[in-house]
Amino acid sequence: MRVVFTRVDERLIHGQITIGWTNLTGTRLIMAVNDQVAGNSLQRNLLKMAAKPGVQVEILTMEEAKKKISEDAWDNTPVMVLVKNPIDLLALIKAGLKIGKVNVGGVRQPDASIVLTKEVKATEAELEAWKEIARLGYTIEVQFVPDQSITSLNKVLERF
Amino acid sequence: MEITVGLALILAFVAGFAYYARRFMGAPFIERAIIMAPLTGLIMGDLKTGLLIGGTLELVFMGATAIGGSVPPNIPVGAVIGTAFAISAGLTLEEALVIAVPVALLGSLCELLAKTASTIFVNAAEKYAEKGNSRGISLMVHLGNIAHGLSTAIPVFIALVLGQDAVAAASSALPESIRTGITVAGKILPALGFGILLSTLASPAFIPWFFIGFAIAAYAGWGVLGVSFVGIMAAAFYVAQKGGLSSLTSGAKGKVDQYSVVSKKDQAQMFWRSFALQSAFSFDRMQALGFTWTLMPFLQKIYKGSKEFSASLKRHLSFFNTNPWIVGPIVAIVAELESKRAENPEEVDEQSIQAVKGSLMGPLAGIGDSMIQGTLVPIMGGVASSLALQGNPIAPVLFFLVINVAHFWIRWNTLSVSFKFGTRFFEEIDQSSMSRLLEGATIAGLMGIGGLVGTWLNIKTPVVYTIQDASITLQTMLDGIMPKVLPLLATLAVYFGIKKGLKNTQVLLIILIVGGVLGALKILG
Repeated sequence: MRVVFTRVDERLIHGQITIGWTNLTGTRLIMAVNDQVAGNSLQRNLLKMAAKPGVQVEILTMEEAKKKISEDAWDNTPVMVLVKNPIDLLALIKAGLKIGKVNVGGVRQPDASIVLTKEVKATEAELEAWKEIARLGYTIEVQFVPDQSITSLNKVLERF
Repeated sequence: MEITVGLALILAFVAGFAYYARRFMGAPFIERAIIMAPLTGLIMGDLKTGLLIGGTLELVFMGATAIGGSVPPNIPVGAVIGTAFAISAGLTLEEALVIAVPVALLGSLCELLAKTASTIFVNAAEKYAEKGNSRGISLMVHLGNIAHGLSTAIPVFIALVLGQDAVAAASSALPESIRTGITVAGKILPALGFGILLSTLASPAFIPWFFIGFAIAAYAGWGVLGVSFVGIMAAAFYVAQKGGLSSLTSGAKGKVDQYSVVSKKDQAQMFWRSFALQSAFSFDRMQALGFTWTLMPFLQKIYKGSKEFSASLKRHLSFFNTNPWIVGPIVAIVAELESKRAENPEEVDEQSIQAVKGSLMGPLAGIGDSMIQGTLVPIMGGVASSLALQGNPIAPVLFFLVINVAHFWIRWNTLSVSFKFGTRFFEEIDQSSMSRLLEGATIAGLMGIGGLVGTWLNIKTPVVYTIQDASITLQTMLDGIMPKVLPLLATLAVYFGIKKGLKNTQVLLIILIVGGVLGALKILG
């Protein structure tokens, strides 16, 4: 699996992904991983419509995604990995997903109370997951669209 | 013409109102340069200059739109200030651009400020929600919107009053070589817009359509309207070949309307209020206050007890963000759920209402942003620009009408269809038809951009070689191979720069420096 872009974003596929990142990263396939979304036909259908035409969209449960990772699926196709929260991302990394930098969009669960940046809030469990991802050596950058400046989440996490 | 304090006030009001309208009037795109600059020209009695600057500036900012709560260049600030100084100090079109573009980019700070300030209003609204005070919430909506308007109006006013003498002095003191440099940089600037748009619109498989559009314009000289016509036909042919659009909504047809518990009157009220979705747009919760305001009278009506009303307000004041035109489905579905909850709280719990909002807002933003901000607005901007550059005053009117007829149509239909069919409409919409439609739009859009590059980008070289008495004009030689090859190269250079990760501001600086130097050295001109 050739991952060209990894993003944590509560809205999965939306305008920033479609207009901002898809072409820029050369993405041909989007793997969006979320148990709840994958089990909901309405959400699956809408997310597929939201992607850019010509880009294949795979909306998978965590189990299905782990299987794809272990099979090393999709050969050389440039893949964009999308998850809703750092906990899911950490699980994928532990399942053997090879990624570069981690890009972060809006992440704010209703019950998240720890403020990391203007756009990123975390629950206790999410904070631990972020810290673990940073400890594993990944660069974590909050950046909505390519033309925006980057906020390093690694630096922010040092304070917690 | 001197800019008096009175005139500065009027122009500041125009720019501020454009931003206010973006928040409170459903994002009608009147803040685009194609409207702002001609309007400034009209007010100052020089519509022609306004049209020329508006047309060019629209091309420069073609690809720059707000998506998903990111902060775009502040186009009204740039367009109004650039046009006003051009008319007052008698600047050339290119000189005006060299002022307007950096000013617009700097101007994005205004929006940053307004979005930060609005967090205060949203927090205050939450206090009012606790008491079930709908008046207080309305007040916060209006204060937030006024703050957004002022954040643009005040800088425009100050710049116009304090800047005009400096601009006039600078423009008369500039040496000839720098003037030529500025002119050349100004001529290259629209390549910025084309390159940005190309990078967002063109997936590799579709890139040839850009070159086809360019070739028709450059070799055959058909002009943007001709190329756009061919583009639309090419798109129609492509869509038909791939299987057409007939099945787009076939799933929802022929089925009995779902009985909506929401009355027509309430539906109409939500339609009108939904224009205010972007009200008091704040960094942390974005459209939360606008969404709450859209549903507020309805919630007040169904939750007679103040405690439930207050709870419903509070739950809608959490983070929300979607495409401003296509909020209808979410409004409709939430209204249905809320009225069921009002009747029987056991049947619909709070979490399921939040879940529906959370699951619909992202995908609808994706569909809307790529169809509207990513395709419709730039295509119309390109067409209107080419009319404006010919001095045709219909350009801004046409842009406004087409965009806003589409706006009303989309806003109303997505809302009413969702009241009729609920989420079923979206479950049964045919995805492959939908993506064919978007592919067709991409083809027409890319050909249009190619046409614009081959028509309106005027980068030339005055270099003349003399070999044994015979003088060879480099431009004539280039034209023999490929007319407009320099505009094409400039656009592709911007495209690859952005692909390599350069930011818009960095590309802008490079254009100003490279264009300025090559112009001053008389390599380009």
